[in-house]
Amino acid sequence: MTGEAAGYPIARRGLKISVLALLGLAGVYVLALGYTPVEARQGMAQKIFYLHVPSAWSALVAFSLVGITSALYLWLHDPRLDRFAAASAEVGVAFSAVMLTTGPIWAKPIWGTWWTWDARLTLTLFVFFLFIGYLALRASVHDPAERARFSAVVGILGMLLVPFIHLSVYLFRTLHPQPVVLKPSAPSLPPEMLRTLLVSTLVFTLLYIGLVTLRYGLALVEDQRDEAPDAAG
Amino acid sequence: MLPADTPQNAGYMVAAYVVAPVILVGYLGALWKRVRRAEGGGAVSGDR
Repeated sequence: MTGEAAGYPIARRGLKISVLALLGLAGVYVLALGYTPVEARQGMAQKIFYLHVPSAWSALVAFSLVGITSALYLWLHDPRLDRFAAASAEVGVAFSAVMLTTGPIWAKPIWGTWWTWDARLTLTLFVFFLFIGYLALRASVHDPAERARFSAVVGILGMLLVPFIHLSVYLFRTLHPQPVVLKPSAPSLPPEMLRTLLVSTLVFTLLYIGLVTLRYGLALVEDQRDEAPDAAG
Repeated sequence: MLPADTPQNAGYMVAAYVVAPVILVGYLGALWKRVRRAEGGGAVSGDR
């Protein structure tokens, strides 16, 4: 089977899912601006919540799945797991970029500063850099088995930081607010805000699926293209 | 009806609502470009 035959249709499916999710994002904008009320103390800036939280969700899901599939790779040595981990890491970095830009834009009018070195923000930035390092590592090791093994170890270490990011607001004194949905008690949000947040989270999850599928298809095309000369020779 | 002291800060919301899709659509476009290049037998991207 050629790279085109196997990888290209997967990438095209990923593109379609991603475009569908981006149309869904337009729907989230309509909901956020036309349906949800303006928060009295924060004003319109509070509506950044509907992008910031779902992008953080997608980034942390992405990095968690990198760790899980990396651990499975070390056990099973299935190259599909390594390919998925690489795809999820890159997509996670993209979602982290959204989280790390929308966060300071929201912080400035509410906290009076773009950035503060508290536990939640610092850990999030650290994980972002860690996964940029993961991608740099993958780009610098050329032997596929070595690349997969080395990056799996980094991916697992990165995943271990994810619970600390979630719990950092409980473990440390921090400016960052505590969770309003993912907590032991019921969500503390008005129903309109909660509905919009859930829709946005679904849209960002769909976008994660689309982008990972596309990135996985790309890796497959590249791998099979690289294997082709060996097969011919 | 909102209280009179509700902050007027829609500019920050607009900035975030522009930046997020720029990053996501930009990444999607770059990925698709890499797929087309790889499919056509172009240069290796180096990102594996």
